[in-house]
Amino acid sequence: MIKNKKICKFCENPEMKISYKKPKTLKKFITESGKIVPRRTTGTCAKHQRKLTKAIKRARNIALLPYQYNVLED
Amino acid sequence: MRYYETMFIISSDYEKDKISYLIESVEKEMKDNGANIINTDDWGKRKLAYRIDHEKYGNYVVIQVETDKEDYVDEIENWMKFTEGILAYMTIKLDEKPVEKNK
Repeated sequence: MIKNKKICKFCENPEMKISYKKPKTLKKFITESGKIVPRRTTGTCAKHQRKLTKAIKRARNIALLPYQYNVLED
Repeated sequence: MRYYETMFIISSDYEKDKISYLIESVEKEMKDNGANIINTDDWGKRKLAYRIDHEKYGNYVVIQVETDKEDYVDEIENWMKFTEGILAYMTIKLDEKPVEKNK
């Protein structure tokens, strides 16, 4: 089986910066339940995945991203 | 010189005057602790990803500072912890000097 090689989105366009202050960008890299997507699925390179992880965790801390989605309300 | 960025959330019950007053008092506290304020950014009201103190909305504010003082972060976070109206706060260290925005 031949798989298409995925290219890191952040290496492709350097203008896309990783920051905890941009929850819209970070949202693409978490699952429906709020987990961080592994880089084998997204194709992000190791360097950027490290930065992503840090940014997502910071965003969670300050309530820009949830720790967990689909929690029953009340 | 060290550069820090503090983000904090003000309770949504607060009105505009009260919010700007609180931001001013935060800035004053930072200056008293030996920091030089570079940027203050008010994001306005946003929905929180999860509830904090039973509140669904909050006003986000980001302040970037430069300082030489060693215990600046401890001092400012301790002050915020005991200040009414601040739901959550986070201080991070910046690698480079932030660009100054002119308003």
